[in-house]
Amino acid sequence: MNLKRALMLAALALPLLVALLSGFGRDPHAVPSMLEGKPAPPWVLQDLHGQQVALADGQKLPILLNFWATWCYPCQAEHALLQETAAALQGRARVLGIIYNDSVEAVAAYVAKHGAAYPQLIDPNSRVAIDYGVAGVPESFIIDGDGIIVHKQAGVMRPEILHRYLAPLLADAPPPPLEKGP
Amino acid sequence: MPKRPVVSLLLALFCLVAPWPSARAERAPIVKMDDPVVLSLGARLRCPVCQGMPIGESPAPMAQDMMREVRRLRLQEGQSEEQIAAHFTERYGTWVLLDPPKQGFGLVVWMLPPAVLMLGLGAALGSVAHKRAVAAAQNRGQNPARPQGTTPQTQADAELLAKVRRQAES
Repeated sequence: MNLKRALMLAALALPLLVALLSGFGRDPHAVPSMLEGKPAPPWVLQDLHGQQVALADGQKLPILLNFWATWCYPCQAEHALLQETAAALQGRARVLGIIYNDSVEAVAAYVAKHGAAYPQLIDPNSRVAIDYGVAGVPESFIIDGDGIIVHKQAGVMRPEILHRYLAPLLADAPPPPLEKGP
Repeated sequence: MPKRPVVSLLLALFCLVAPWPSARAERAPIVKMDDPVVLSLGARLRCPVCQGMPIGESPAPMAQDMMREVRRLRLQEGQSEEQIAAHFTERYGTWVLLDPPKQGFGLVVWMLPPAVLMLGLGAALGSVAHKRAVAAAQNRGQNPARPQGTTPQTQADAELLAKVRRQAES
């Protein structure tokens, strides 16, 4: 192979190599979030008891906002952790559930059986879900006291995620569920 | 007998025209129901929970909710097509557009196929030219005895020259 041909092949292969290398280190399952680092879209929704709840209600407390449905098995899997987190963080952070594409009756029955430590909010026509760029459930958003989205978790919430993103936002020591993390 | 072809023709024509009112009845309301911008966005925006399907064609509740939001933004808030497209890309990224934007990495996606086609065409033409040059060189190699400065001008000249050479050799 002469030098000219080798150089031509290298020139063709280089961009391809750069494109492939740039993909290494990325999580192929990660869904990019356009909203991280940006203000959380505001909303006012009703809970299962007809009470109005707003994003801005919490006196600058960090928020764990969870989009979920009772028909979604991964959502059921994370429910216990969210219950535990909500109970442990009472008064220090807000845990809120937004019902995605599910009936109020199904959610009411589910939380009556599995625990209702945090409010479940009704999102007519999934408007808030679309506003947050939700592409499936479960998806959770960790929002700081200034209303900025710190992290979007696509998929089941895990203790290490809470430990990494929510714990630093708390004014005092990490709560018990976060101790499960690394 | 001569009437039969006419009857057959009329029957065939009837069969062609008969479904027309029902076909029109099925299609017309869709066009009338939706604003052209809503229809266009329904074809441009990707359903997040489907496999490469536009929201306007997907039966998934998520896609239908997105279509409802498109209609609301268009018909209630009066936003333009590009404003609504931007509303969705701000939340879902350019991934939500079925046609990648003609900028940044999206531009590479658009430019790569014609560039590869041009390269392939160039390589094919180069290969043909190279093969022709090699064949011509081989042909020249088969008649190496021609003295310098005596290039034959015509076929007759060449034949005459070959004849003279043969006679001289014998």
